[in-house]
Amino acid sequence: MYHYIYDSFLSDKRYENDLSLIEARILALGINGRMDKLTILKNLKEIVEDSVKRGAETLVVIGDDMTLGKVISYVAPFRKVILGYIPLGPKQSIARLLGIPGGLAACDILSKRMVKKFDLGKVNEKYFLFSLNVTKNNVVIECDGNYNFKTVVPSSLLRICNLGLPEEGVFFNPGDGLLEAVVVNRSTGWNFFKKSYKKDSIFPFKKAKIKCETECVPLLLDGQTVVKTPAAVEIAPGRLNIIVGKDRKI
Amino acid sequence: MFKSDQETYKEAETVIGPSVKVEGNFASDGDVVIEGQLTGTLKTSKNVKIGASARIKADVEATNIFQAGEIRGNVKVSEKLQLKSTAKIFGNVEANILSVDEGGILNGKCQMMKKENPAGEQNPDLFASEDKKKNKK
Repeated sequence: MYHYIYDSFLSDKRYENDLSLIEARILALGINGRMDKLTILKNLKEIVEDSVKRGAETLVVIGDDMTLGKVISYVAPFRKVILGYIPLGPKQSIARLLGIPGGLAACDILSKRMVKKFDLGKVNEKYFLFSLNVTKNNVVIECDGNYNFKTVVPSSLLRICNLGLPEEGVFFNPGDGLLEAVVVNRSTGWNFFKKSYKKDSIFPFKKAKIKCETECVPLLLDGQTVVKTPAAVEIAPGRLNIIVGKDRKI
Repeated sequence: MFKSDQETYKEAETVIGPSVKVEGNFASDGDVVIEGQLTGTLKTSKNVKIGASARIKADVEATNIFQAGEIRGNVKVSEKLQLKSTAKIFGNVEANILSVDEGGILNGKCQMMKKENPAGEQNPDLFASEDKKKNKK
């Protein structure tokens, strides 16, 4: 059974035509199912849990990369659920990595059901697909219980990556059983049109602890959920079942 | 190393950059690039590249080391240790092949290890060519 979850920004009139075409194609392919549109009043967690209770086997997200990121942390606890993705909207870099074309063409990928298992990052019982953003760099990260590291440059940014940093153009293999702690520095010089970053350090690991002696540092999961230090980060191998296209790059 | 313009993923390789300080027993199965500070031990089954800005206070063990920074500790290399002109090593060295560029500093005991040949012969190709020359004469 399929269950389609529409992001709230799709209520904009400019997506009306695309959505009607997608709905018609879904119907033609015989993969139609229940539909839910996200609003301020509808809690995504409740929608996902309710959907799984009702026996949905495939949850399909219609939206952009951010929508996918939001859904993943709620889908991850249900190992049998398969996640589908129909990209619509401005940010589609993850869709391209997964080999899913935007809009109508994604319905055909969905109907072919080529399922791939991806690792997820897990921090204090919450999951992330892309990255964990450490909002301050006065932390110490202890990797695999063997060594620890900290940054010595105040402007450095710390990220824990599974799939990578779409905004900064860094991608890792989400099927290698490892997470990567990445230190990035803001590039010096003028660039009015784009924020640019320079990659500094990479530490692959399976388990890590993020600690800060002076304060509780907020950690941002996939740019949305907030967790505070001290935090235990680990890899959850093959936790996500996701439908991909044959032109996928990962 | 990174392909920021193209959306491709890269295989995990450890990079200790100049803005990072590492403490502890660092072990890896892949290539390691060091441009920052490391204290403790470093062990990898593959290659280590140490940049000119790197400061290492550790015993280092690897297959090949390309060294341009500073190491204070013992170095054990099963294949080749290459010291560039900016390299400094304060500690004992064990290597199969050692190459030191002009200006490179090595303060410590140096021991050349002979690579064990599974057939128990030394450079079989070299001896074979000499034998051929003798036979021609």
